[in-house]
Amino acid sequence: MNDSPEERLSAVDLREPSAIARSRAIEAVRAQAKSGVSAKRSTPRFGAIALAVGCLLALTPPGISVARSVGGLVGIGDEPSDPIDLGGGPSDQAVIGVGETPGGVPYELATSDGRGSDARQTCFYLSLPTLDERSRSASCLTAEALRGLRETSIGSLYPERAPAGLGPDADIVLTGAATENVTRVLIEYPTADGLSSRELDLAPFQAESQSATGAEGGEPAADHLKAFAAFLPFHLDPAVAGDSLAMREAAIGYQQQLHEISLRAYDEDGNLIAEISPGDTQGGGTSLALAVG
Amino acid sequence: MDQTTTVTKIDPQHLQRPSVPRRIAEARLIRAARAGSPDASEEIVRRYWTEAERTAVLIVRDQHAAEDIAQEALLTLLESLGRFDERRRLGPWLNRIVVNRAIDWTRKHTGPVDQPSDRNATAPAHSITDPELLDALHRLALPDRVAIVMRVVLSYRAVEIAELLGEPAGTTRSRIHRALQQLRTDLSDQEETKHP
Repeated sequence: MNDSPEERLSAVDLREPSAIARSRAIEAVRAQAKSGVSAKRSTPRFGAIALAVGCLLALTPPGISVARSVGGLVGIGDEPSDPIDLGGGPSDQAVIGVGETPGGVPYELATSDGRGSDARQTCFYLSLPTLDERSRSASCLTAEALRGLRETSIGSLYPERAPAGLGPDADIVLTGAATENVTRVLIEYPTADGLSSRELDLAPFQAESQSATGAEGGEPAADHLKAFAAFLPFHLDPAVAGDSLAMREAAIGYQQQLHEISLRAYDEDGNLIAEISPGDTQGGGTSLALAVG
Repeated sequence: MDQTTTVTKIDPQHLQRPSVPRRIAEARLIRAARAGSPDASEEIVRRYWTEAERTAVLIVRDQHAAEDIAQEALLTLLESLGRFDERRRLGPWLNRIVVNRAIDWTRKHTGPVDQPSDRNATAPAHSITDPELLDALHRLALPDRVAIVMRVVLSYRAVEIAELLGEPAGTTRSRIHRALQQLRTDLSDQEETKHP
């Protein structure tokens, strides 16, 4: 065979489509159509708009204060209320977005220079000034993480148990990042009443990284990204604490729930460009310790 | 040759766009599926199954995974029809979903994306007409493979592929150029081995 690869690629086809798999897919979509899933899943957009009203993640450029809209919060670009110490000397923290949880508790999304290791990186995390709390971990965008993010458009998902006191429907907090071309992120998640979805607000920031090992050619890289935070319900019976078997079952339930959460990223033309689940990412390996505290 | 002007030879027949009547029929189909018609949903699966499965096979190489990806992508597409602009074509949208899911699957099952796939990690697809080509594709790193499949097989523009890969369009053009050269060398070596 002497055809060029282009010609062979253009001609490549299936000998025969998988009839069994196609039949299975047809059964699935017919069942889905009969159950009205597609109609049901498109309507929560209105709910998302209502939630978005309460969720005030400002898209204001750094340096412009929006603090007055959320009372005592610091402004965008200011130092966050409870900076994470990443070690390795001084680092710069700045608020890139502010908002409120579904229960009305104010929060800040903040970035920080990560200089703790031998590589330069930008980290982002959640701060809860009124509770004097912050997320237990920061998502640090190493050169490798940035490469991965460029591949997937959305990622660096870190689900963890939300600090106490955030009110209803905020048991898990999920932070993540998206690339600049992403203009909308929809999250779909399970609730006691079935699947629900809402649109997340995106806080732009610039992530800088420089690999000391030369993985990026040793050159500093800067990516314009967007960070987001989502507060989700997870109902766990407090009685399981201390009961190892029940905790194990709860852990399985927690992992299953992570797999049921999906995030979809759209570009400005409304094209779906990425879909990801925290259950499929390494960040999804969050332990039960985070689920039950 | 300037890499940004690399011309990828594509079968002209492959570039044919659906006729206007077919587009109209597709818009009606979308409206019916959106209204909850099981028949319309089934027709969409029948119409796009082969392309979805082929795209998935070319990227993941694993037959069973490709079938699962095709099914999940079609279910996702049908679930999301409420947000779809019916003046657009379903095919490219579906293929993007398939490609994204195939990337996710590969990242999860075959290690770092910038390394060629571990051929032993997957059950090879039996349904493809050119298994040697499939093997050669899978000696490419995932982003290269995705770029080649999207450009040459699915006729996406480099700028659209770049958007999906999250990189500048120039990088994608270089990637396509380089990957095609690698594919050419690889296939040629195979031919020489078979017919010294």
